[in-house]
Amino acid sequence: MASPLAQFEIKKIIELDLYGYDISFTNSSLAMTFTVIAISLFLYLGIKNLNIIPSKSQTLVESTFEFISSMINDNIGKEGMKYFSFIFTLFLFILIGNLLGMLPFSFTWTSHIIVTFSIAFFIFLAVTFIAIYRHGLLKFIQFFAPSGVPKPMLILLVPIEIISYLSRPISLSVRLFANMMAGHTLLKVIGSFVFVLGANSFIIGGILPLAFLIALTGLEIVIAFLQAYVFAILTCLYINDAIHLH
Amino acid sequence: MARCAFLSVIFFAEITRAADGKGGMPQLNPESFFSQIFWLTLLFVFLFSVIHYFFLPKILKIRKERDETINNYLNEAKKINDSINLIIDEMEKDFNNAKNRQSSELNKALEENKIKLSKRVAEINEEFEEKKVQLDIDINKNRDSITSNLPSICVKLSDILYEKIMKDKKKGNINEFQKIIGEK
Amino acid sequence: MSDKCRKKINKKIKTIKASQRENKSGYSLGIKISIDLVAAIITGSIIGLGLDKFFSTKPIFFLIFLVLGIITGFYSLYKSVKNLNQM
Repeated sequence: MASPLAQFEIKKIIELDLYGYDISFTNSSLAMTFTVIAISLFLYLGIKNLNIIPSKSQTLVESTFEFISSMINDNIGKEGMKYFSFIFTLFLFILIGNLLGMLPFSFTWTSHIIVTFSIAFFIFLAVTFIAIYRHGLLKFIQFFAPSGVPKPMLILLVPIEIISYLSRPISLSVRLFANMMAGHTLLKVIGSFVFVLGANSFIIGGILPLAFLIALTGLEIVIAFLQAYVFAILTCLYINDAIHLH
Repeated sequence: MARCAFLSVIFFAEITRAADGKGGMPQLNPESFFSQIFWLTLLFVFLFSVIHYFFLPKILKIRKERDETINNYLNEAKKINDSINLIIDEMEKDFNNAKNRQSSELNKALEENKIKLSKRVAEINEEFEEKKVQLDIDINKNRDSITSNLPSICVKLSDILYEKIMKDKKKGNINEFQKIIGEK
Repeated sequence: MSDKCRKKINKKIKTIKASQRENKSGYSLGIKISIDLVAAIITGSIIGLGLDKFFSTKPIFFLIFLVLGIITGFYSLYKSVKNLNQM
């Protein structure tokens, strides 16, 4: 029986090399490519026959559009519409990545900390840049010193605020990564229970873990949606912080 | 597409091959980090540009069109509603006018008729009075004539009586008769 | 009459949206605070380790920033709960 973590193993499919750096096309990259293809297909089917009275697929695409746009409106406001494309892409990318990861024999690239961290770190850099660009460096530094706090408290509070700010990309990436990895590991463990118990007790013993596995699969699909939603909404909140520094 | 199918076959072949548990999380193996980041960046930028420059403008356009259509229809409906309200107002106005005119005409006719009636009554009364006066005059005249004629008639009557009784003709005189009666 | 209808519909939409927003905020907050604590501690220890490596003062900065990270974690937890109570 393979280790439950074996499913996260990166395997090179095509070995590539760029000036000494290894850029091999791996199973993770393949899963990502599938994600991109799936999203493009989803959107293409939606806009294939654009109509004022939408078809089913167009309704689906437009409700996704509506969902993200209301999320931005609620959390950022009108100024946030500039970042609509980014948040829309991010949400779909993570959501479809999570969902495709639920297919048997596929690979969940969102369960890799380096991928989620790269996205989160990019968001962190972008948000910091937006904040400095819009308000200037001085106001951005003042962001770490909350007003109305006595001076001795600031000595403690400023490092806390800085650490809290720097922990954003980590919390953002670890949340997605940990959820996906834990879920898939659990699925694998329960799956092997089904197999082992079923084989040892003439199938009967496998029924209970199987029921649990089915329930867990449903839960995992919900979590796939939820994590994509949380990732997108936290991105919105961070952009909101950058736009309205307070 | 053929390339994709080929890759997917390799992908499934690779993934189903039993992996040796090396121990530890494969996610923390830094060997694959660079390639992962590279492909992530590439694919994400590709997806972003496709969505930003191809898909979203189309969706935005159709949504705008729909909003415009809905607004147009709404405006049209509002216009029609307004015109209906206008027509209703006009109708009500006409109705009220007609009502007012009717009552005023009615009143006018009533007044006119009243005047006519009173006039006629007055006329009739006048005529009646006139006739009464005329009648009075006639009666008086007749009475006068009767009273004035009475002696001569009496004389004539007595003459006739005398003739019948006495078988003689005698012409009576009114003046004498009046002397007899003692008048004058 | 049409204005009245429209006002009624707008009011309904607003109330529904408001109720939805409340649900969303509470739920996402619950998920948010679970990892914030851990992330702050990780960040603190990473900063501490980096500073230790730079100044080659092996355990001092690590310890200081670990403690700061723990405080930050609980501070952000406190802030989130305070926000939750406000809603």
